[in-house]
Amino acid sequence: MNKTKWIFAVIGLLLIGGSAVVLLQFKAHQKLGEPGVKTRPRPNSRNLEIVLPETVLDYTSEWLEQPALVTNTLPSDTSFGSRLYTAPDKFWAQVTVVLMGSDRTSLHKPQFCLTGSGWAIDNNATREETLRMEQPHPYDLPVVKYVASRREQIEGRDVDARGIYVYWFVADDTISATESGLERMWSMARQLVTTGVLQRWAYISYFAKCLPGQEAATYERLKKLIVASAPEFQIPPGPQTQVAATQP
Amino acid sequence: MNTINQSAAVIPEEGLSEEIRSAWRQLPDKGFFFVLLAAWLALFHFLGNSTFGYVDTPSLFVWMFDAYSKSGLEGDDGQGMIIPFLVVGLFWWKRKELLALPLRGWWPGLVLAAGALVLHILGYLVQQPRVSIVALFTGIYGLTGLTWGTRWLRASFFPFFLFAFMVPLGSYATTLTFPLRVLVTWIVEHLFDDVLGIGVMRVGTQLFNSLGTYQFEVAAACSGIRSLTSTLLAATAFGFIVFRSPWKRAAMIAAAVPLAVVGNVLRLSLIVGAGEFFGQGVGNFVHENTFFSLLPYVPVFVGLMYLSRWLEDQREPTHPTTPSGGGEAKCA
Repeated sequence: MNKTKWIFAVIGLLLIGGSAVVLLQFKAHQKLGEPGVKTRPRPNSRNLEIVLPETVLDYTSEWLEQPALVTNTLPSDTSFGSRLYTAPDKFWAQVTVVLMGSDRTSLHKPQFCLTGSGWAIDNNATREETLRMEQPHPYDLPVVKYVASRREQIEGRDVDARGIYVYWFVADDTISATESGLERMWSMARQLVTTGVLQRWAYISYFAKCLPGQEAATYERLKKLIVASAPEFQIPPGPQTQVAATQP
Repeated sequence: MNTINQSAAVIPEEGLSEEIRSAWRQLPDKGFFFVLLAAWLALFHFLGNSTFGYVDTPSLFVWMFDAYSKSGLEGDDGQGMIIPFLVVGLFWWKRKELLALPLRGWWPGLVLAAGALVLHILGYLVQQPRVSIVALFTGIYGLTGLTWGTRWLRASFFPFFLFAFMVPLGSYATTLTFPLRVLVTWIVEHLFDDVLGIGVMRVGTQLFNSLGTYQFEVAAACSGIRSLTSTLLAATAFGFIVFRSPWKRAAMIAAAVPLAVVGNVLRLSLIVGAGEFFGQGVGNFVHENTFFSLLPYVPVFVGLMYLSRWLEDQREPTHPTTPSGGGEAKCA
């Protein structure tokens, strides 16, 4: 190997080694942003508990523990909060919040959990919408709405069940709701590169079941629940909130 | 005393192992390249992946292996397992052409590798392993250019760019799968209704009949993304191996999409047809049976072969030749 090749070999190895040092330094000094939801410490755990309200409107609720399949699959520093809200007429809605730690893969697309549970998403009915929030100040909350279906057995009969699934993502002073998730990822990347802060996103979802033909009415009830309950646990975005994506 | 002169060009081939040894001896600056390659691969093994969900590993290679071997919703990237062998095989096929080139170092290859490092740092920071995969192969390409020069880079672009198929689409494939599902379902509905006169109804991506004897949902896993990827890969390799003309290569690649759709229409038609005439159970059997799962590839490869034959018959524009003894002048 001649002298020139030696020089280039050394330069190449220095570049690779230097990159390794940069990566290690960055990982060690990465700052995690503030969550966009209210949390409290969990006893005997480094993870957090999402503070969901026990009662909203005329709903009562019970706390739901995450199944082992979920907690074992997602990163170990993922925080959860889930409640089943039930109205006096037995209508129920499940509210789930997943808060990432230092790993964005805590946030998974709803297709994973929905289709994994046997629900088939009707892509024609998927919509990106906005809900008008009045508390703590007026703003438009962007959401994605899915309509899904599943064959279920109720009292020995095969029944077509329909599911209404509404979700969005929130971080410190930032909200995002697009089906692709690209705007949220772009927001995360931009923030990370420009400020060194990893946005700590929370994935908020509301889910209710109904019979075919009742989708619109069920969605209306979900919307009322969202408008009433979200301000209880979602840290209010400022009036100048950066909304990463919203339906125009 | 007899002196036997042998030139490298007439050394008799004594089997594959001797061919490999011969090619290895002819390749210059091996130590330089492989030392840098080893350092490069070590970087991506120990600091390649910064996500720890689903697969807890710092190695990009382990992350990639997991992505290729996943089943279910994200099981559409299995081609990643065979690409390295395909690329190595194609390099072996091109070895004489590559080794006959003047192989001299080219320092801007280091710039390409440095750019790839920046890309990997960005991908690592924003926790996007797919960006790091692009950086991995771009950097290796740059190192080959640094070692063996621009002629090597040009000649090895194919098959090197086949490594692009090693970027797993995962859940991003849904942006492709949904339109494919709708298209295939729509075609099958009209094929049965309008052409065959068999009443098939469609709601979204569900197909069923009025009697309710069967109902099939064309789920994401049945969208044809796997056959599209395989067809695209086959068409690309086929086009580059057989043809030199850019437009013929482009034609082969472009044909992959309609051929994949044809293949999936055939598969879905068989499933619906089985359900129509023999009930849901038989339709499910056809759906799950391995033989019927491979049937869509028949029209794909038949189509590629017919297209390549037609393209071979398309003459390239010829240039007037200067008269020379024994030469045949062709007029365009």
